[in-house]
Amino acid sequence: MSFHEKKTWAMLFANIFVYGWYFSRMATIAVETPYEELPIAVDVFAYDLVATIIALIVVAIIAHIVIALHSVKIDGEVVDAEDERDTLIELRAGSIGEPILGLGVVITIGMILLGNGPFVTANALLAALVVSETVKGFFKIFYYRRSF
Amino acid sequence: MGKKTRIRNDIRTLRFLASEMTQAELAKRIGVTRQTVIAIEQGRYSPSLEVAFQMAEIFDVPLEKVFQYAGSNDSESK
Repeated sequence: MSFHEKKTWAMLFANIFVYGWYFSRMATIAVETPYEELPIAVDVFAYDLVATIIALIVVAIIAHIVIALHSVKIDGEVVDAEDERDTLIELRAGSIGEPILGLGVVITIGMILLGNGPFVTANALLAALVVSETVKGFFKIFYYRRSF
Repeated sequence: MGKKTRIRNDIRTLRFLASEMTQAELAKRIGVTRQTVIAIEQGRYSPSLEVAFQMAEIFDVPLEKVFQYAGSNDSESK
């Protein structure tokens, strides 16, 4: 398994678990808070969002170090350079993930026009980004395994 | 096993003839990962023209000795 494939696996799991935790927290807030009080919950979700982003950065750094320590080395150097196949896989998987993000943005615009507040719209936008990245990650692994 | 391309290759044989060059060594000389060389060798990935020519140069053979298009015979017979 190449360095980039391992990194893709790591970030896919990190995305699923870290954002899974975040959205489960948001779902709890949404259920427990009356709709008219949701804008007040913005402070709460802002803290959770910052914590989620920091957690993802920390996981990404740790994953990078662990993967580098266990990767194939040639002449003592870790083979982590991206080659043409990695680039092509990134582009192909991205072309599947990006329309999902676009759709999410359009849906969020609709939600804003319908009068939804920052709690709902910001989370809808973030959800679109997470789903888009997760789908992209799945397809990257699919292409790495299946090739083309 | 992944879907195969229509491009066949003789990289395994050429590596053997080149003093049993390893996939890692070939990958390093071309500037790709070993996994990419494996994917090319197994016919699961069609490399760029540049990588294909680099391989031919490394093995010191014409390009068509390294890669052959499996569909070319079909189109000639039509």
